[in-house]
Amino acid sequence: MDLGPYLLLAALEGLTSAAVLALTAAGLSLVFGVMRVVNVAHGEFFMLGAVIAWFVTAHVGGPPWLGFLLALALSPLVVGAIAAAADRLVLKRLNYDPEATIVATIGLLYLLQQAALSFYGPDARPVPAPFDWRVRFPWFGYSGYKLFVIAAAGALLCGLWLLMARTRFGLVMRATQYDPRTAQAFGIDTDRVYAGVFALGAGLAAAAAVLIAPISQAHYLMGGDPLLLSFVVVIIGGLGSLRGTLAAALLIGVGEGMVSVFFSPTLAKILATLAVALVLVFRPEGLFGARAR
Amino acid sequence: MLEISGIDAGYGNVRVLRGVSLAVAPGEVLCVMGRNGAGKSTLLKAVLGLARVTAGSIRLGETELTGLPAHRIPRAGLGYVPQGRRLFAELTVAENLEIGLMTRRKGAATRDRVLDLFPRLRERLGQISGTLSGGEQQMLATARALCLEPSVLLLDEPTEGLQPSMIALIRETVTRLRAEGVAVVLVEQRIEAVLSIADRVAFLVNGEVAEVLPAAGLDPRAEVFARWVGV
Amino acid sequence: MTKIPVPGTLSRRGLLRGMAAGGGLIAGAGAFPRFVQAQSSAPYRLGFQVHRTGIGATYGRWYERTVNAALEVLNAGGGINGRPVELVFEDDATDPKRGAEVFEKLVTRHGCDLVFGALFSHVVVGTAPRAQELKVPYLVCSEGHHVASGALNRWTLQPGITDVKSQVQAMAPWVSANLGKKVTMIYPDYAFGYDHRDNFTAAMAAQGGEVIAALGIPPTETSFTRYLPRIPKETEVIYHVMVGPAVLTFVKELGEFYSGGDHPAIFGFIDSLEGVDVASPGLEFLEGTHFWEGQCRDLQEDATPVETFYREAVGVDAKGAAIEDPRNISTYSHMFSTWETLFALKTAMEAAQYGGREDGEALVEAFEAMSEMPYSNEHPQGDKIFNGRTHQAFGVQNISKIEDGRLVRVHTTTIEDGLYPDEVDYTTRPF
Repeated sequence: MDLGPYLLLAALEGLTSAAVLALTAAGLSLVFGVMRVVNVAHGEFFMLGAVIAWFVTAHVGGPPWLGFLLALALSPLVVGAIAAAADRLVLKRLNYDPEATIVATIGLLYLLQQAALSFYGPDARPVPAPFDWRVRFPWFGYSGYKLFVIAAAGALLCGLWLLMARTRFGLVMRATQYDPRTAQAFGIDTDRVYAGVFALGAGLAAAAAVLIAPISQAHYLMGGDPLLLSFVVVIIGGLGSLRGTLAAALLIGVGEGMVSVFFSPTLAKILATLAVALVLVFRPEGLFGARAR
Repeated sequence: MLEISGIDAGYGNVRVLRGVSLAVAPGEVLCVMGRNGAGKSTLLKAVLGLARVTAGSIRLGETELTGLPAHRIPRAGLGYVPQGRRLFAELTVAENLEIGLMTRRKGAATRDRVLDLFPRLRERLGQISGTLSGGEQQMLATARALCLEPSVLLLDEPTEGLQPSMIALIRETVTRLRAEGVAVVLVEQRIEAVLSIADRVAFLVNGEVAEVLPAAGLDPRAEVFARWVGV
Repeated sequence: MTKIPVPGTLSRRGLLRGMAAGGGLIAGAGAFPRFVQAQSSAPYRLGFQVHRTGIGATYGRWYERTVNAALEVLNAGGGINGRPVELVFEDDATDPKRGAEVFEKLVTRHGCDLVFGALFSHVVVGTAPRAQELKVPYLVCSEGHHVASGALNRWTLQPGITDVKSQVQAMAPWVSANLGKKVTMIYPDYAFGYDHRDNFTAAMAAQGGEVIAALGIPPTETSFTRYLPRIPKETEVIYHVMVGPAVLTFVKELGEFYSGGDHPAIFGFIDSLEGVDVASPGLEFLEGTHFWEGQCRDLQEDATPVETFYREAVGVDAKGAAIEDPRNISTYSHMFSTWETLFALKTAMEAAQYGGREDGEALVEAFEAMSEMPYSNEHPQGDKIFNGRTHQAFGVQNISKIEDGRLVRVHTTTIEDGLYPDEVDYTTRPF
């Protein structure tokens, strides 16, 4: 294939993975930013999102788009509710102690994974795409659904930004992030904020998973890669910075796509890991993270 | 108005306050003095539910505050200006005020009234609060607390590190609030600042109230200051 | 006298002590108490290492189902040496470390005479050394070339399924004669994929063909489109073999990539679609492409009574799905290996007059003496010969074409197509 179309394909692929990655990582970043909790179970919320999407689409009749839209609405809600319950039952009781919550979320990871294995089973199951439309470029064909994923993830990220910057809930979240004690002195129920943030973070991962499920199926072990890549993105972008998360997701997603296409996927992983190491050494607050004021 | 009776309070297993009883009436300014570590800030935090109260009771009018979750206490009408100001530094001036307004669901009228007290903030509404000067930050911290339209205002060393003109502004504000019938609890280290404004002075020593005196007639060189506050 | 501990009645410490003692006894081969043999009507206990979870789960489910069906047939026919047979299943999570642990558990805790059933090659390679240490036969159903390559040990055998090298070699003449000479290979980037790459490259060269590009894809990959531009334009045949949960995605994306345009002939190993309905949405472009099949998933026009007997016993319909659930597609081209392994075991155990674990060496030697395993209810995939020196079975292979969403057989190889010179003589190795 010629260089031009080759680049186009690599860019489209990179954008698709960057879009999904940005959504997932935004959830992780939000939870760390506001709650200072390193949520190791984040990938399992992602997995749950896809698994629930499978349940919804498999049990709703009618045209594929109907089941898909229902899944896109329901799955983040259910996953968010599970996350809020986990926050109330576990994290809150640990007083959000950083070390204890890491151990607790590792436990949550195994719990959710085993639950999925028990109730969903060990198979990878396809989730039907809402529509089957292919873009025919002169050089290759491309899934129209993947373009939809890019657009949908973009829309959800815009929504998240509006929520954070323009609503009272966003304001309360940001206030809690900077100083939870003082926030309490101004009537902010930080317990509710934490539960809400944990649910929102998990819901974002679930939404990303619903989007990706028609491309890569739902499987109980699918949470590992998104977790790892989200950490990479969040470290490079700067914890708690939405702008940084987006930029880093684009960098990692598109960059990895390009390097994988032109060189090798292993090299792409080496470079991503190297980038993390360099950022940690030279700019530990991340490329876009704010320095402490 | 605010009535603290016999409280023990502290953090975790450390007890800082022992059997502290104090009261402040509407339109009264009570100054709390004491050496470092005497428990002055802890007293304010205990009132706000930010330090753990293990005995005694705190009442605001008819409302029992002890045992309420921390976020419910300010809604009863307590405004707090923390030590070191504790602004939401990454948020704008307007957003900091909004947090204050949200506490008791106050609206634009309150906001205007507060901004009239601190016109300089009105010019800087869109600015990130962490980039304000020290005096402006103190104005904002005070304004944020006033956005609750509090019946009790708790100030923790508000003049610390400020220029004289700014100290005067704070004093003026407190005086005006007192005239409006707000009960004020002021933690302060500087004797002349206290005497210019206080109705009564409470001395805290090692977590206990050593003495409460009317401010009128106290001399800056009075022996009590040397005994309870001096080094 | 060592008693087999009943699960749940021992403390963990006691259990560990018991296992250590058991391990010690077995390690001191021959010293194992003879009580098992004394009770000559007691059932044989055979351990089955099953990929119940992990990436091999679809295969594991069908391996378990097939071997249970075979067990029923076996016991109904009088068992082995007149003794009934019991199977003990343990999940290895398709993980090599767990595989070795499970092997040991089956032998020392459940008291199994031997262990069989593993498919994924990394599990097999991870487990085989334990078989040698414990001196217990290990029969794999993996199709990997690691047994016949000499990489494993005398206790490890593969009597139920042809290895990849032989399968691949048998495909090359037909592919080069019917589809094209310039081949691009797409395979998983680890041992199983290399078996395909290396052996097919050599076999094509022998036929005057050429592998012009080889795309190894990391096994954890979930998206494949970005690899596809590397398929050279002059490619005449795409040869694909993928495994794991992402196979469906791979085939779909291949279809999207070539949508609307001409595409090279496509030849795949059915491994890419084991457990997947070839008529799934998104797979339409596979129509007219060819697949290797170990055993034909769709019931063929000329099906023999052996075929219908086997199919009915396992509970598979004419489309290759579970009779109770048409969405549950079998791994038809691999799962026969568990059935055939069990019956090969019967032959060998009877030849060795196997009594108990002290006859393990005799059992291995009995296998090594075996040669022909003719097409029958016991060997429903087809005629096989067993090479005692390489511990590997060799059978016929099928090539099928997708026509109207059905896999229709167009060619069957001979056993000779897949034979190659021995690479090892395990009979000269010590136990």
